[in-house]
Amino acid sequence: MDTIDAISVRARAKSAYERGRLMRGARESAVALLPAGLALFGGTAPRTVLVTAAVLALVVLGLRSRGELYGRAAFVGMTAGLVPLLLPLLMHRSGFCCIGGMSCSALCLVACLGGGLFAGALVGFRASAGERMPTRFMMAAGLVALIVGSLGCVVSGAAGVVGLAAALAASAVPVAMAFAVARR
Amino acid sequence: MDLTTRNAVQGLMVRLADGDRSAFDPLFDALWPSVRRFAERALGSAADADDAAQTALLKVFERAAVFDVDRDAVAWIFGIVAFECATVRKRRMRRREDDASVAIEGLADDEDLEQAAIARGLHKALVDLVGNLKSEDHDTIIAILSGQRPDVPAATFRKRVERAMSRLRIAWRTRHGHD
Repeated sequence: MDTIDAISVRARAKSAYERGRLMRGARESAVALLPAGLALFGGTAPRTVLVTAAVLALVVLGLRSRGELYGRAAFVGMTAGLVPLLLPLLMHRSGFCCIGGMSCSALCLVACLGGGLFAGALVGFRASAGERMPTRFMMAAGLVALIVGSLGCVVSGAAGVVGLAAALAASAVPVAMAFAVARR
Repeated sequence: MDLTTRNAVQGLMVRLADGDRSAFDPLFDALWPSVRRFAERALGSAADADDAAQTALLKVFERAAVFDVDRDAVAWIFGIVAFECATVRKRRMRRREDDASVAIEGLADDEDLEQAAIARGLHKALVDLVGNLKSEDHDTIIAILSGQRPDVPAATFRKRVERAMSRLRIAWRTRHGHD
């Protein structure tokens, strides 16, 4: 049985542990600056970048502080989200895609869908690779990938973001299931 | 700490670093007695050992999130505990030094008290002697001490002062054997 001292130390140690995790999460949430910088460079509106990057930082902070599969999911989502972030931004900057013209916007949308499919596949593959709770992992990683990707897909409006979300979901689940079946 | 416990601590620490909260209680249960014992052996005082063990464990758990899982957890933990013991030892030494300087200051205060006691003794002896002087000499000395000169010519007062002081000196020498 714990003495009063040990009980008090245990409680304080638990708080210290949570504080340590929160500090680590806060430090790592600075990683949101990278996609934000890329989006700004690619031509996304600064206000949109600011709001989205703040949301991304909060989500990363929460997931990294929580740890375990959520912590791992944050970085997988971040990596996966770089593809739908960069594809439309690169097209937009190189002149293939512009806002206003219907055909140009459609190209951006295609880039978002393609990037979303790739990101979803990556998330699904990673979720099936040894995670005990793949659904939760996919949800967390997918959320981060969606936020990161929307920093780029927002150049083609709400349709780009919705298309990205649909493509992410459409590829993550079947890929995860396929790999899970293949590993059995 | 035996090898089994050591391995268990390593495993628990890795889980805790990953964010697995269920590893917290078993890790704490494994560490608290060992850390407490280590600190007591290093410091030799139960109170100081408690302080050091508590602070060290708080640091261990605060840094658990950034623990490098490739490191030896036990060595890492006891490194922190040893550092904390050294800090407590230094603090204790500093406290002793402070206590010593307070004691020296106390001695200085004691010297002041001694001086005051001597002064009080002298004052009492002087009052006794003055009280035994003739009334004219007694009044003159009181007039000197109080700064109230009687209404007499200056030369007269000066002579009275010389006379009173000479008699006081003689009385002092007679009673105490020296000036």
